[in-house]
Amino acid sequence: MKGSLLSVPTAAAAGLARCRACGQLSRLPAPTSDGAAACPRCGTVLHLRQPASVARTWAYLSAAAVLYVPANVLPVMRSGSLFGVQEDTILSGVVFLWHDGSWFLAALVFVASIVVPLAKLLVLAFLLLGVQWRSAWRPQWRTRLYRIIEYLGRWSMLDIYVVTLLAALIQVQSLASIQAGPGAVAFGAVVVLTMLASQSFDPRLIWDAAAAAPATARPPASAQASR
Amino acid sequence: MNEPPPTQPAAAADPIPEAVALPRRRRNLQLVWLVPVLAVLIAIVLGVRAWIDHGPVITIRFPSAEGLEPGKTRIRYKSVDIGTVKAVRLSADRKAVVVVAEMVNGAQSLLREDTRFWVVRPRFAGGELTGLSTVLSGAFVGVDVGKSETTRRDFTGLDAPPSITTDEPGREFVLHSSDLGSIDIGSPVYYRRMNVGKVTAIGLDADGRGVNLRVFLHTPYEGLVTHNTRFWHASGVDLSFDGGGIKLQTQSLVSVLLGGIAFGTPPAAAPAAVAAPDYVFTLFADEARAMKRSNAEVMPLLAYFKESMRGLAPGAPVDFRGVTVGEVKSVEINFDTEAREIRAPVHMVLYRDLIRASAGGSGPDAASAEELLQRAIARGLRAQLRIGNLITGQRHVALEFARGVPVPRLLAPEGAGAPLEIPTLPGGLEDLQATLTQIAKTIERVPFDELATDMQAALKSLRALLDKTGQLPLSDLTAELRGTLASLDVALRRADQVLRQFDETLAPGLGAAISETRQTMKAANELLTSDAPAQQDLRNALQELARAAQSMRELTDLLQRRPDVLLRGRPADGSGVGTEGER
Repeated sequence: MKGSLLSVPTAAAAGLARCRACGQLSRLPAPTSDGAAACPRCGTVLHLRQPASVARTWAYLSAAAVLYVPANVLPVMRSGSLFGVQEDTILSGVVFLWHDGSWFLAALVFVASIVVPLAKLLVLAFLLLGVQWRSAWRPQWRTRLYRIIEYLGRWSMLDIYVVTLLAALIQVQSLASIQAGPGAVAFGAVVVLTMLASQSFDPRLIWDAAAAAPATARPPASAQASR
Repeated sequence: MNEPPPTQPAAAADPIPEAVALPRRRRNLQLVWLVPVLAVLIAIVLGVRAWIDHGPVITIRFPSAEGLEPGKTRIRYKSVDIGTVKAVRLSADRKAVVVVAEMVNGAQSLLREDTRFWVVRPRFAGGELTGLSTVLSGAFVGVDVGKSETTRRDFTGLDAPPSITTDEPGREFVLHSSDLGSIDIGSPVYYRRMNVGKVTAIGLDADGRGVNLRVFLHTPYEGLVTHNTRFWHASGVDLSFDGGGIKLQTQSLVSVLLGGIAFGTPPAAAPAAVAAPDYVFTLFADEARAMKRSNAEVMPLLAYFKESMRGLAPGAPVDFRGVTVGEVKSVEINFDTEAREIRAPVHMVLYRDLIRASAGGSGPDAASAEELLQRAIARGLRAQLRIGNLITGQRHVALEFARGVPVPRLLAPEGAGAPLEIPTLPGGLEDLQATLTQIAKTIERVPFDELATDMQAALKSLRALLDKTGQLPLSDLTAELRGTLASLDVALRRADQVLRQFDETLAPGLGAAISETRQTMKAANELLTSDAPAQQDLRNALQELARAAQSMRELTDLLQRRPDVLLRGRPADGSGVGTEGER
């Protein structure tokens, strides 16, 4: 079964490329022509795979990983009232909700704001490593993992939405005011960067690698690609 | 799968168009790697900023962690947050609470050796309610930054907020007192009933024999304190009885309720230098004691009174014609071995300034008070005990010039500093008592018994004489009588002659005189008739006199019944007394 899936002919192998913008399928010029190709209908540059996908993903991912630290350590929200200023990090908000008895909310915030970004970072790193090591291990499973990650990514922005809304709404001079802290910027950047990273990752590379792994034993596949 | 396999010949036939070939563009630089570089830079910037914001971590020991919440409780200096309590834990000996606090960056300069920390909670001290805002916001840690040059990181917190912060301008003085009274930390300090400072610290002496207080005077007022300034308790109500009567003294209502300290400079005191910080003063029990003259300003005086000194207490005034010029220091009893008698020396002091002012000189070249007093004694100045207050029987010493008293033998004091002795006069009341006693004694000397006996004898002899008269022979007497009558007849005849002569010569003048007399009498009669003005005036006057007499009687009745009305006045209901006023 696996062998049959991996051995099917692909568009890339056939020298066909689909335009990302208009969906036009076109035949690429011979790879020996040593030039890029454009869509014959809309003129968009054509790529068989997302160009430099692994490098870009790594770049976004490392930027997100770097910013993940200040996003969790620095205060996200600074709420000032008559009786003093209070600064909250994401984790202190979760702790507050937990002590307050709102366990469901605490769990939700914890999962959406801490677990999901971290999971994205780890999963993307895992997928990238799999591609780079040309692993043939469970490509289907890894593709599903990628789908889940891409779907969940947007929910991490909840925290940022809450802080933004509160900062805009609660501005009663000297009585109460809420400001976004430096952590919020970092956190927002983490979410955006992980989304960019998952977008720039091309899941077809997983299958390419999986196909390439047995390809060493199968000359026809390599012969087809070379053509 | 029926489609032809994607082989080269098939491709030529299908309608898939050929892509447009583009010239190859080589990108040497992967621009996307700028993103992580930027991220690292941002992270570094954020980290550095956060690290810069974090100041030193300090520990403060408090007796209790009441109201302190890790992560929430702030450390505030002048209402500015300078740190946050990060952790609260017990000390190793479990006697205190150690608070770990993280200060903001820049707070290093506030962490001096003598910087003080305390927990601000609502509290009532010195008549002021402080820390009210912490009821809602929760406690915070207050800071008073010290002035020391050295810094430190571990502090011991105060139990209560310091009443004076280090940067408050003013001056602190030390007061020494035998007891604390109702003074507490924060009690006000008054100058002319104006609040000018407060008590900042109280504590026992090292040997426990007294109390030391620190008072702080706010800045414009510290110059009022000179070396001559006296401090006294202004606590509560000061009610005193003495030779001068009843005295009631209070300061402001706050000090009546909470206690306080007042200070002032005696008016007689010479100007002195402004006191330096931490100058030690004595705290007197009341204003009168505080304002007493010091030893340099008084002159000792000694008197031996022969009468009872009941009611003469230390502190009783010594006056000269009603002006207080000194006071009694002590009343003693001792046995004079030379004279072999018990004597009661009364030690007094006189105020030099008053004595010298009375002599009209206060300059340095003026005669000393001792000399002035010696001269005065030689001229007859004497001390006398007088009753100052009839109700309490308090007495005072009066100095008075007496006439016809011998100049005392010893005038100069026996040694330097020894008190000058002033001779005494019996007191006014004692004088009267002595006179009355003398009169009584004289009356006593009259021999009433003998007088009665003599009188009885005289009466007896009179009666005997009368009895004898009845027994005399009357015939002898008649002959004698006849002779006497004859000579009387001759005498009468002569008188008749004289009268006739008189009638002839004087009668006409006499008649005129009589008629004049009659006129005079008539005028007098008119004057004396019942409706004459003089008569009426006289009658009125008599009536008035009668009324006055009645009033006197009523007054004496009243006094007999209630002698106290002399002092207290007539009772308001006027039962049985009202007639006095109605007339």
